[in-house]
Amino acid sequence: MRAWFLALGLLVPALAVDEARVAAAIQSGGPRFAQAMQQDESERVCSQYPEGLPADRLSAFVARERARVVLPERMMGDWRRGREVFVTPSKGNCYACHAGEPAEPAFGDVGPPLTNYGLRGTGEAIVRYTYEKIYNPWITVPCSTMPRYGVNARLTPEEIADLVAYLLSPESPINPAVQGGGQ
Amino acid sequence: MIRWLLFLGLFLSVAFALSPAEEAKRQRRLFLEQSGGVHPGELFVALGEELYQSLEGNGKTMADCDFGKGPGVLEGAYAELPRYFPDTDRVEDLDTRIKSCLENVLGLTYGQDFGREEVVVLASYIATFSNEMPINVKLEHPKEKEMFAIGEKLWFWRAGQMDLSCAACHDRYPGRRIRLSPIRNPEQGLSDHWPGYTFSFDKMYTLEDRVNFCYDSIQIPHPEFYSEPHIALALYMRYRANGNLLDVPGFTR
Repeated sequence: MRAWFLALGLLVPALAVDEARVAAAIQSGGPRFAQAMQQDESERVCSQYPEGLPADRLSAFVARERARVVLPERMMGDWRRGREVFVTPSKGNCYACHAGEPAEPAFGDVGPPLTNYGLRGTGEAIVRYTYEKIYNPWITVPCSTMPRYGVNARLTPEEIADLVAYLLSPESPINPAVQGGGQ
Repeated sequence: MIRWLLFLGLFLSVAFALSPAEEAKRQRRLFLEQSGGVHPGELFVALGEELYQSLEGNGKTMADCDFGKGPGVLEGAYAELPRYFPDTDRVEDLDTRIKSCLENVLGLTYGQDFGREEVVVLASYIATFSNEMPINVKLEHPKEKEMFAIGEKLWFWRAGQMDLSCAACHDRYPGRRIRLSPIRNPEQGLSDHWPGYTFSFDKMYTLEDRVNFCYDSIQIPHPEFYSEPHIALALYMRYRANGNLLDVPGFTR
């Protein structure tokens, strides 16, 4: 392990810069930029290890992120409202990275397709998993590119529950292959 | 109509999965066919040329500005920017260097004698003297090395309501796409075609404008023009792109 770090040290050019200098550079971008560039501990370590967290950092990271999830009583809301959240750029903006309804051709492919996500059923475990995944994706995939929608209050708990319904409901148009549903 | 055709073309090209560079070339060809062969970026370049030749102050003209190859030498200058300049004792990108020369050499006042629009057209004009030349950014002066290290930090800096950084998309997912936009890394030409004309906005963008758009897209209010985050990120991206041929004025979605 130590040898690996030494080898890495030889490869990376010696271009260290101290934190105060970086902070000053960020400040020079103006107060609104500097404010938004403030990081929490998890963002900080994700930035520090872009290739993935070292094994000995994982458990503390996941424990910290898990502690930030607040589960509401009702985790499955209204799929029609969820559909709006899914497509709206200032809300979920999910098509930026995921395929969804088969009729929508303008989707990104950074994340896995969500078409027929509802084949997983609507059991308690998958509802909870899906809610947590949107609220805080960093529990299951530390430092994932997917935003922590709930932790960062990008979406409200109700909006997340509506998304869960949109993804899981047999009636949702994202689930044409789910028996007894689709449109 | 032209825009609609372009979007259609963009969709078809995604369906047939062209590489980002091929896709950019294809979009440009399609646009030129539709617009009768006029690259809108050339209009901004012409405005820049006019301004470059007419601005004066303190008995000096822009021919007294040194963009790194000596006063008045534009040939190849942009290919080596950002770089350290002894007279200002700092690293400057093209936008910043235009502003500092107009202020320090010609004695003009930003926001009064000239503003952002003037800087953009001047940058568009000056950049054309490096078109199709290989990017050749050096890390020699200690301040260049320091600015590169700052740029590298910012590139990986995850923050904001969407927890994103440049690297979280551009290094992890090059070749994939955000909705219909292809994702590139610096080596694939992310920064090679700025200043460029953006047909979605019908505007000329320098690399600073493009970086601002990126930050705004990830819910981080963009850094102010000519500030160190811009200079640092430009130096970082361009260093990684060394050897790539500049394609300016660029043409892009």
